[in-house]
Amino acid sequence: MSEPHRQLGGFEQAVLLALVSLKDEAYGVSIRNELERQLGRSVSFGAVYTTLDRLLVKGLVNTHLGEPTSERGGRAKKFFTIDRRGVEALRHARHAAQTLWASTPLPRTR
Amino acid sequence: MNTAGNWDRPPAVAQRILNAVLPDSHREVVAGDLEEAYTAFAEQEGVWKANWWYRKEVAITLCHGARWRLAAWLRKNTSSTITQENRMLPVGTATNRPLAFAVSIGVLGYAISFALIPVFLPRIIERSGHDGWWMRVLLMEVCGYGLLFLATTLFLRAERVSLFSQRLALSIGAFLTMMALQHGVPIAFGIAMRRHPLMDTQQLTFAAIWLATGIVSSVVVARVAGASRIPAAS
Repeated sequence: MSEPHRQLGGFEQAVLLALVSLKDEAYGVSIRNELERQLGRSVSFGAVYTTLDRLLVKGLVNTHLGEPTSERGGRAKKFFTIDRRGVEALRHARHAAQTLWASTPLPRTR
Repeated sequence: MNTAGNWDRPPAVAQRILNAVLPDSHREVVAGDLEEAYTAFAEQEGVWKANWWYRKEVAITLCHGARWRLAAWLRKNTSSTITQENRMLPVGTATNRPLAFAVSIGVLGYAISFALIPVFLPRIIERSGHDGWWMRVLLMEVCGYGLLFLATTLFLRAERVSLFSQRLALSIGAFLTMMALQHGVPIAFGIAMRRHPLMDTQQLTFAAIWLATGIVSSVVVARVAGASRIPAAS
């Protein structure tokens, strides 16, 4: 049985993949933009931060504060980076999905 | 700035509400992200659309904000021996805090039983008749704790807690033990007093013992089961 921290929901996987894609430039706005681009739908900041909080609690991401900028009203950015355990969790999720898809042929549609 | 107005500033009221409601842990970062996104949105789509987009985002964020605030409160007020994951979850936290768990279940179940059920199920309760006091009480109790158990199950599942089945088993054990003791102790009390425990003159004493027994039995069950069956999540 897999460890609890390795069990990822669909949106959690999407957020982790966005962090991988954005590397050192992953903060609230860029993560949300990347998710909207990848998923093709609108994503709220609330959903993004709730998921990031959960990933943080699971120990799958790390965070640090950046410098305040004027375009944000003098507020700082909070950057997120994926942790080694986050990469492991993504690998595990991909392997589980591939196994499932390989063993389950879809019925033909007419 | 454009001709329509001051587009580099989001709607003031929405911004004030956001700042007032968000917990300290999220206020600066989330407000900053929203303001940055608002500016970009206003440049692309115009001020009017950007204002509505901002208000909608604030409304959604406030819903999430209630959850963040709860999580922050739990982090602040729960034992340092439990894990971060458990701190996020009220029920998960409660199962690691036997007293809170017991009091919650005892008081909530009691309240639901005697307040909500007669409102929603008056016909069923009336059909049990004047002589069917025991049946009436049992029905209220089963429904009350049943609802509480259902809510607990849904919450545990919705929050995707680790060790779901163990926590569920603990909840069932606490409910069943409490129900058994709540019936057993007052009867024993009545027998010891050489009176029927359900006589009108003893209703108040009976109710007090009922509630106290529920809480105490839950403390015992939660302490024993919580300590031995629920290891700390990694």
